[in-house]
Amino acid sequence: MTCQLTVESVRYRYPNGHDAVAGIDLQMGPGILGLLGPNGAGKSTLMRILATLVKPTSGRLLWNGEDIAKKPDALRVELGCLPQDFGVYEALSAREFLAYLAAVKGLPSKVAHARIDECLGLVGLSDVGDRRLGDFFGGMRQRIGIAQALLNDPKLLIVDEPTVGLDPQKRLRFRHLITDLAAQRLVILSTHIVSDVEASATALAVMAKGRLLFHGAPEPLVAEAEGHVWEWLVPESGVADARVKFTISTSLRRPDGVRLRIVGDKSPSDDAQACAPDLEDAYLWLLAREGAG
Amino acid sequence: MGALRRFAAILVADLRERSRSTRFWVVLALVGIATWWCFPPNDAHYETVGFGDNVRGIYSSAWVGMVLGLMYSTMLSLIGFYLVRGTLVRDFDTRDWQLLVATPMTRSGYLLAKWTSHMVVFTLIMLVGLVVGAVAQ
Repeated sequence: MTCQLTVESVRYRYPNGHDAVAGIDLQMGPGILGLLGPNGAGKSTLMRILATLVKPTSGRLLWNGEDIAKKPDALRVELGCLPQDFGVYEALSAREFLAYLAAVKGLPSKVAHARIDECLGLVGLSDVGDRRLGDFFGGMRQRIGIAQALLNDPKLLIVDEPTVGLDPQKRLRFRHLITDLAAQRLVILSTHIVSDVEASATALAVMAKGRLLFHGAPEPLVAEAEGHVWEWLVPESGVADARVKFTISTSLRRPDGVRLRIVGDKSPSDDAQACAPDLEDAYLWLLAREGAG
Repeated sequence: MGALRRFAAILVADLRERSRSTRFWVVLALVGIATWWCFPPNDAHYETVGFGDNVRGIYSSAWVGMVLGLMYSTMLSLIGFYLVRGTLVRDFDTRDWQLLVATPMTRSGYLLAKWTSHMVVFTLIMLVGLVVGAVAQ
C-alpha cells in the first residue's frame, strides 16, 4: 500500500499578511506523525491544507506523486479526516449520519453497511447507533467523528485534536486504535497534548508561529534535551515564583513540598537534580530554545 | 453511479433533518390552514377569489385549481425563500461542510441536491394544498 505525502514550501497567508503557515517542507510515509505545537502554531491550518479544506497560498502538496491542487480527488478518495470542530445533523441517528457520509465518500451501499457497523464497534458506539445525534454529548460526538473518518478505510488519516472531550479510558482506547491502524497507512495526529503522541508516534513535527521547528523521530528530540531538565523540590510558597522564572514541565504535590520538573539552560538551584528528559520536556525545551514557548 | 448515490444521500439526509424539526410541520399545518381559509363556505362573511358582488365559482376542480394556482404562485413567490432557506447556512454554521469538502463530492452535485431538497419541500407544501382543495370540493 503506497502512501507518501510530500509538502513542498507550503505557505498560507491571511489577507492581513500574517503567515499562519510560513513555508513548510515535510516528507511523510506510513506510520504516525505527531504534529505538535502550542495554540496558534499553525497546526490546524496545515491540517486543513493537508485535508484539502483550504488551498495553500503557495507551495505544493503531492500525494503519491500527484499534485493535490490539480487532482484533489486522488487524495480525497483515500482520505479520512477528523477536523477539530465539525458538525453533525442532529436529527439523524448515528447510523443514518454515517450512511450519509459513506455515500458521499463513494462507498457502495453493501460495503457501507458492514463498514458502518465495524466503525461503530471500533469507537464503542454499537449500542447507540440508532440514537439521535442531538442526544450525543461531547465525547460521543467526537467518537462519531472518528468513526466517520475511518469509514472508507483511508490510506491517509488526518485527525486534529482527536482526544478532546474523551475520558481517560476512551483516550487510551483511541491511542490503541490509532496504533493498530497505522501499520499500513499514514496517520497525521495534531495535538497540543504530548502524551497523545508519546505512546504511538513514529515521527514528530513541531510547529510554532507557522514555522517547522523539528521533524524527525522522537528520540533525537529527546536527546537534544539531555542536560536541560531538573527536578527541584520547593516549598508550596515558592511555586508561584518558580513559575515566573522557569519553564515548568510538570509539578507534583508531595507532603514535603512541590516537586517541579524544570526545563532550561541551567540548573534552577544548587539543590535541583538533573534528570532524564521525556518527550514533554524535550518539546518544551525546543519551544523555549526557539523562543516560541 | 457514485455521483447519483452522493446526490441521493445528501438529498435524503437534508430532508430527514428538515422533516424531523417541529418548524417544518408547523409550516405545513399553517399552509394547510391558510389554504382552507381560501375556500370559505357560502355563509361566510369574506371572499378570497370572486367576480365581485359576492359572486364566486362553485368549488369544482377547475375553480379550486385556479384558487390554489393563484394562492400558491403568490405565496411561494413572496415567502417561499423563507420557507426553505437555511439549509446551506446550517451546513456552514454546524461545520458539517468540513466533513463534506474532504470527500470526492463536487460543489455542483452538492448544490443540485440541496436545490432538489427545496423543490421536494415546495412539492409537499403544494400537496397539502391539493389535499385541502380536494376536501373543500
